[in-house]
Amino acid sequence: MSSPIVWIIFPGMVSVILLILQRSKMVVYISGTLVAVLLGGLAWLLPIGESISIVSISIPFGDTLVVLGRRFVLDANDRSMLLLIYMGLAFWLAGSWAAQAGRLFVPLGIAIAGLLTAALTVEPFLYAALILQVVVLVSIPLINPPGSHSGGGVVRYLTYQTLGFPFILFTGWLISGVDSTIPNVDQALLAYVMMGIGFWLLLGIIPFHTWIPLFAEQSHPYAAAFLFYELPLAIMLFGLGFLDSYPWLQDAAGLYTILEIAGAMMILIAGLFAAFQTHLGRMFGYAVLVEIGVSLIAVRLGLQSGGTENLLGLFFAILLPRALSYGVWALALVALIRYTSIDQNNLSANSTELTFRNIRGYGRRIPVAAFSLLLAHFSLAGLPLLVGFPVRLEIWRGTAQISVLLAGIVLAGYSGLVVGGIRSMAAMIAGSADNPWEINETRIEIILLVLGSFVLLLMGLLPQLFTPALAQMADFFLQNSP
Amino acid sequence: MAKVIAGGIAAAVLWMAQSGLPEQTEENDALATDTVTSAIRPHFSGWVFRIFAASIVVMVVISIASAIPQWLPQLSDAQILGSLVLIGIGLLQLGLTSNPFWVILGLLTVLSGFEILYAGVELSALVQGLLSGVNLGLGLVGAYLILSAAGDME
Repeated sequence: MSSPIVWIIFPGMVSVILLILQRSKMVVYISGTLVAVLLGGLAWLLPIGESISIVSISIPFGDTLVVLGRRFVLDANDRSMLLLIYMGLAFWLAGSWAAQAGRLFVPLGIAIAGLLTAALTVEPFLYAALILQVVVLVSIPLINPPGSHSGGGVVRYLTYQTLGFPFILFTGWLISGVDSTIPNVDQALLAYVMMGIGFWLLLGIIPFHTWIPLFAEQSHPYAAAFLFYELPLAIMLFGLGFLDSYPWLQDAAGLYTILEIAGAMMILIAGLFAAFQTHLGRMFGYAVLVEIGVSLIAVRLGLQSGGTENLLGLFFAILLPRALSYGVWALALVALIRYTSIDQNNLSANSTELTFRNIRGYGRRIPVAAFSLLLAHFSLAGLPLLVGFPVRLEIWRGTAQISVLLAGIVLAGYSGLVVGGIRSMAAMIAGSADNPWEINETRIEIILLVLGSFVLLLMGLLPQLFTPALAQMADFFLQNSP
Repeated sequence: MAKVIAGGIAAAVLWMAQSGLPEQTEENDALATDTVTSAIRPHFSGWVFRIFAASIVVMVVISIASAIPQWLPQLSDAQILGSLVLIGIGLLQLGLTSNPFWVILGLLTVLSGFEILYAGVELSALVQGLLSGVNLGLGLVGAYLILSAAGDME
């Protein structure tokens, strides 16, 4: 028995079994969610690398699995990563029933979690790029279920991700022979350029961002939100592992500047687009772009900090607020789409219908969904008293210490996101004051949205409950950093 | 050999998916979405433009190919030229269409160019095998997207 068998092979097998059983929707939903919770719980409880005692039998629980000469190593330091992946998966699977995310969501979600774990633990790590490409291929039926029209966003997503992975593969080859020593200048320069282009494409950094808003507009909101959460997280963890394995990569003077500029420009441009946006799905896409930008800034702060004040914790502390906000936002969008199909007598209504014109006055007709959507939006925009505020405040403070101009750009971007939220609110509460208030959400939507909104508020008021624990995850990363 | 088989299967799957679509008639044109059947048969001016653009790509490749050996001395001139032409033409193809069939062909073209470069520097059989698997996966996903766009998946 070894840890990769539990967190890579077992999810893969469960995924295949659930794919076979996909006609029994409830069975797949319940068993898939329970498996995700179980794997998250085991990540918390099992002593990786030691022996497990059951009654009087002691079973060694190793941390390595060898497949065709390649090693998958999941040691005790990876426990936090496993918790992030599998507790995150349990969160998304639990809401998938209410979100009507499709028959393939649960089996493919579990498969993606297993593959992401494999990608982050494989040695030599150049194989991770190939596994991430398999994740992209597996995710296509999840975001574009059978029978649905494949919009341009899915095709662009596939294109950019497929173009990105050869660069990472090439970078892996360039630096795999040099271990932690510094290579010659030419080789180092080529490695930087390749790595930069690869991650630029994979993370959808401007100007390769166009698939994200399009994707958010055309795909099922919940499936899109799941992917927007999982994929950038895995790519960034992979990137951090990259930098940790080869500390000389962190010594490049331009690395910090590139991270600053890329992050700030993402936030500014996405914020500006959000301010002028008239489609709720695309608005979500721009909020995702802002999140990728703020993650880049958090990584930049963390790389330079070191010492006693490890600001890389900010990168991890922002994950829970993000998952909650994405989940609530996506569920609210699903409720809006469902009501739009009733309101317009159009059974095939999808996320493309969520224009400001179509949702006028919905604040009075589906108030729980409208209110939850606005809470999630303003939480991602960093408004005080909401879950997103405390960590963003620290990131803004850190950014201002680097450069006031940079902080100004970041704040301008966030202002755009706030303006977008206010315009969404104005569109949803527009209409005559004489219109009666109604509640047209389903019971399960009301329960989940109220619960989600409550948590968004509660954790915003009591950030000390979750922030320190999440921030501590940074201690397991960048162990080789100066 | 594995690469030939994987590429052949990917091409066959794509061909079957594409040939399974309804014929492009005037009636179908009126109903067709932009991602399914339009832009498959470009006009004469379209062909002229494509040939002209491809010529520019080839000229750019020839001009930069001589600089590559200083970075990657393991590769021969033929490998460098062949791979860069494939990558360039593939990227051109990706820039000209949003039709899933042609996009997948563009991606496969770019990847084949990359594989020629990569085969010269990375000798691991497992990596080459996995790359073939990615090609095969792209073919299957392409077929899925083509059929999905045509509404044939139910």
